[in-house]
Amino acid sequence: MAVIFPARINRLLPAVLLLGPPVGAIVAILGIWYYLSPWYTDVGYTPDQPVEYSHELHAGQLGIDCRYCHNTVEVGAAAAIPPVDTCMNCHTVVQPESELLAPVRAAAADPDTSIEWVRVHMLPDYSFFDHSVHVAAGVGCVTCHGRIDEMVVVRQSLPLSMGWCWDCHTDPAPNLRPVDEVTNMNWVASADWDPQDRERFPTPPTHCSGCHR
Amino acid sequence: MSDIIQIGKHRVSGHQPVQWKTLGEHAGTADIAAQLEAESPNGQRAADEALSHGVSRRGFIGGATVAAAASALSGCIRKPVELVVPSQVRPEDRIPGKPVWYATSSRFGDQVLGLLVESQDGRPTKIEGNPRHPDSLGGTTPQAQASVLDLYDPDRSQSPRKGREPVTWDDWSRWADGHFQELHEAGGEGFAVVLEDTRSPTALRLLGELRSRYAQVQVYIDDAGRRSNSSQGAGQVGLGTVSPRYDLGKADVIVALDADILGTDGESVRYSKEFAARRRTDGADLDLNRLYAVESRLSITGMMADNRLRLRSSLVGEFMLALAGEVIGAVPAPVGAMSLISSFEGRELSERARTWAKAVGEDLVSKRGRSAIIVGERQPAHVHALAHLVNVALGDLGQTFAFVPRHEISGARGLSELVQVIEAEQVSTLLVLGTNPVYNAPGELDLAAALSGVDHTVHMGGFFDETANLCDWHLPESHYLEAWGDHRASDGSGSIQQPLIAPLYETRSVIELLGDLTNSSGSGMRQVQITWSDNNIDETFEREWRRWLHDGVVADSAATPLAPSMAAPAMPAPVEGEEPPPPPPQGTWFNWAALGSALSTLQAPDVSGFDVEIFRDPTIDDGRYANNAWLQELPDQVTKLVWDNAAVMSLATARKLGVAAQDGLPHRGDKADMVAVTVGGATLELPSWVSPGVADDVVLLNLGYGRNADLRYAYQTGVDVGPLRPAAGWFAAGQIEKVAGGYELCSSQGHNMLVAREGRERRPFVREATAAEFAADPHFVEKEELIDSHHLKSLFEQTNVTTGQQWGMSIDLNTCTGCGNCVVACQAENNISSVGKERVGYGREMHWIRIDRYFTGDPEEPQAVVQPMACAHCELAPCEQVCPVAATAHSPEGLNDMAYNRCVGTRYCANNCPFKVRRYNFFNYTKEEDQQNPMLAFQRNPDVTVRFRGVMEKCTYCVQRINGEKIVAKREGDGAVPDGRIVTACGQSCPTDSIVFGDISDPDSAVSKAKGRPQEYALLSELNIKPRTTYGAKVRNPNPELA
Repeated sequence: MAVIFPARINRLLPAVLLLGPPVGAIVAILGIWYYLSPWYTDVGYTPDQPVEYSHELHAGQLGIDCRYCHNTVEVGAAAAIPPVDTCMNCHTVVQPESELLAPVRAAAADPDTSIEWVRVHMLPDYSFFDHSVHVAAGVGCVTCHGRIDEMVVVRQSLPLSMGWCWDCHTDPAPNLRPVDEVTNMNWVASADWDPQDRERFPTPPTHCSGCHR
Repeated sequence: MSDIIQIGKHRVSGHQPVQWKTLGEHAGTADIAAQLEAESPNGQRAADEALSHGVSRRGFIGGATVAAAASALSGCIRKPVELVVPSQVRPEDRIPGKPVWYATSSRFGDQVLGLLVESQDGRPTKIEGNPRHPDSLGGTTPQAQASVLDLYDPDRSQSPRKGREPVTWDDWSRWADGHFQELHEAGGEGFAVVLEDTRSPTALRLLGELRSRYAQVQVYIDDAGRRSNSSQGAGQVGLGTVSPRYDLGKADVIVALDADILGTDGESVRYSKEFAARRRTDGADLDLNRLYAVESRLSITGMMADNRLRLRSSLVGEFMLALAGEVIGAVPAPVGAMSLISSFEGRELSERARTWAKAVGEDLVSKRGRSAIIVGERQPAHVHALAHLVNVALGDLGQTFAFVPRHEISGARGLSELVQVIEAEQVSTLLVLGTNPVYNAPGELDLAAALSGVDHTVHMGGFFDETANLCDWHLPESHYLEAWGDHRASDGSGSIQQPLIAPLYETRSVIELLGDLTNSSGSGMRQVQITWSDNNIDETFEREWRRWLHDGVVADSAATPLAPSMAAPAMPAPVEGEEPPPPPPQGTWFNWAALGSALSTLQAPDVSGFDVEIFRDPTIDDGRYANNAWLQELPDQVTKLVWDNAAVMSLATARKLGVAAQDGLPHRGDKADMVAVTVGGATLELPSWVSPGVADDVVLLNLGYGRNADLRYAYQTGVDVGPLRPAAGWFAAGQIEKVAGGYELCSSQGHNMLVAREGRERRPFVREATAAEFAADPHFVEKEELIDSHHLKSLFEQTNVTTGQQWGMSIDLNTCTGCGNCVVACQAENNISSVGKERVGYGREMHWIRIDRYFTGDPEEPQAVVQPMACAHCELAPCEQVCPVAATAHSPEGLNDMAYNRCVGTRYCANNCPFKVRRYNFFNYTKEEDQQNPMLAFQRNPDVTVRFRGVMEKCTYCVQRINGEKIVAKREGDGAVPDGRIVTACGQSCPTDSIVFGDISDPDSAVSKAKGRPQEYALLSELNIKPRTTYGAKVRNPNPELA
């Protein structure tokens, strides 16, 4: 059987022995560091969507309220992606011939199909998030989703990591706003805004089963 | 016992009998301490098991390496892309991810239950009881809980078949249209229909139409013993087709004769509710009812009984005669009643049974009008008729029981008549609807052979079962959650069976098929509407119909009970030359003549040898649920056997036969002795199981096992005892002998034992007192404390912050029957896996709540108590102290949280848990289940994490329900959840409402009130763990004369 490594490799052996452990250790440390860092949390994830839908146009320029489409956000755990029907409410009249809307019209025409949107904001299956209670507490859409009204294609703009959730759950006040301003992307706290000034200040859970069940 | 033991300075007197789970434990031979000493009792043999599944050590390490490399790599790969596919048009009011509840109803065993079914985005996932339904009252049975699993059963029949070949419904129609047209033209000659005794008004209406279209059609009932004896009994007292209906809430004394009224007989859910209502006490009003049980098998009714007499089933009729003699002599009885029974006094009865009859008789007479004698369906008709006679004599009619008119198939006959007419070649077309007579028929009738003599055989059923195998055509039947139907409850009120999902496969319902065969057009829903509207579907009806669907019950549809007179109405004297006047109509008066003639031919039972007794199984019934893994893995209520049946016998019988008792400790590998049981010409060999509390000289066999159809969980699981079943009745004389060989049975009775450490006194875990003792000392439970609470010291500071509402639970052992409903309800709610017999044998069952059954007293004549056991959410939880990764931690609301995603699987917590309620995923059970049955994913609760291999799990107090209600309270209320809004899965459908959950910091909550009762106690309180689940001690109300 032929030797795999030629004899000259032997000269490299001391260098490998000398440099190998520290380099390996550094790679391991950096790897773990990266794994535990927010960079790993997919901030910036911008998947291609089946329909070239622009939040920048609809929510930004046209100023349609978030809840026109995501109408379950105040009553359900999910801010549900709207049914095809919701698009067609307007687009039977507005831009009915648009090329960009072809996939929507196709989905609306065939009762057995729908549009396969790609999920952007993903939490692990073992964490249970409920939109309705956050909205009722006065956490704005923009707080977790960023300036959706400025995004042509939606991307994840915040880490959505547990540590990030935790920061607000332990100190919610900086992220609270009047409940009727929840969907206002441009809201800024005025000088006389006091998050404590309400009937019942939110008591977010800080124990495991608050989110993991 | 009156042993006095000394602990420190405190003298504690133990006045109660020691409780024990297994015979070995009682005798002191079982090595329970060794089981406890093992680092983790259920941890051994993991590698053995991996090897036993055909993986070599080399292969295992190779695989593990690849898995490790793959998991390391997966860190560099992005999470998989997830798609969100919205509805095209979202149904009104549908909120994705938010469950909707619908009312429906179905029949389980002998009873019709109204149900509320949870639909998660269109998938039925969880069954609960409908509080508005008269026979459910919010409770269910384990079978009802598990029925949702049947919907997703991978072995369901999915298309029609001709022979064994799958065909389409069009193929069937092509044949059937011509064939049934010919039959119609021939006047239905040679046409026979077999179906179950039905409670469906629509099915009855369509059967009537079938009769008018095929004039000579004959109907046969495959009843597996349901209701035929009790209705014949009512016939023997001259009342025609009626059913007795008992109201146990009004009864002070209940005598159950071979009747498992809280388990498998009759309207067990309603009986349990009514019974429990009379057992609940806070000590102030001690108005307990008294339950006598006379039975051969130890049933849950027997466990709950205040006095129990072991008596073989063949002698129960004799006991009834003796009891009738005691009562009839002491009350103003109907004319001639005494002469009916005087000749039978005390034949064949032991001295003890005679004493019993006397004492029970006196008790009944003293509680006249507030008593009830209930006879089980297994007893012959004359015993039922005698019980009616005695009940009537006691003045109970109209008080504790009533006769309710019964809607049934007129002129229907039984399976033995069917075999006769087939053998006489009078049947050319046989239609079997929704039942499996080839498996169900008693062995004496060789129905399988008879079927081959019929030209055309058609079977409709949910599974391609034993009968389908022998039929020319098989038609798949829809599950009740897929089809429209209707049912009548015991009081005659109707409920609509509303489907929650379109049929998953090409299936139809019996109602739809009967509609086709009678040429009555319309869908299943239309057929049901026609029945309830008298074919007048107008706007008013539509409005009512929607109300009925919403409520789950048809409003004001209860029947009026009969009010028969005691004596025959006076007849006018016959006039010469005229027709004699017709006798007064049936049902208006008691006519004891038929009972007299039945009694006149009565033979004394032969009790010299062994009796073989057949029972419907308390979990899988007569085999209809045999392919349901949840029910197969639900331990038998008494023997705790899983995935098997056995020849169950008493200690004395076992000694006679030379059969050894088994303990059922985990991973023992012991084999049970085999016995050969012979009845008539049939002999079966099956494993034996020695169970205290069984009558002597009988062997008990459960139906439903040893199925011989293509069903993955049921096939050849256990032994089919059908061949031993006599054609008439449920018990017969037989021979039993021990034979060579052994078989490894699996019983969970010795699993998860609560054991006191060496040198400690073991106290009864179920604290118990008689009503008299309780009245004398309402705080009797405190005497059982090993250490006074003020001497308890904690080794560490309690660091848990408590804020908000404080969750706690109370379980009333005085009302809990141990039926097992909570075990299956929890399994359905919390995505708990079934693991199979072998793994249960290692002690690895995954049930989050189990029911510990303890015997007390003499093993020959024991009493039994039950104790549901789930995570008690200790305030000073031992598990939390040993978790190295803080995966189990305390919530400020008092929950012992389990974060699966943190758990690394050290199993220290399970080892340190004094209640042994933690369950470990040794393998990826969920994945295995999904591979076996891809449909099972539809049943899973999306609000509960599906656990992976290597993590510990346990009861969470249904934290998903707590959080759901908290979110509603925070969103719409003041943040505090009102009492009663959170109901745990185990508590919701409990047929005795024994489990109460709520906020213990609110003094007005139901749970606080329960915990305030004097008999409430914490288990293992000497460990100072402060469990949030506490128990209400058991109070029995025995007859002092029978002490």
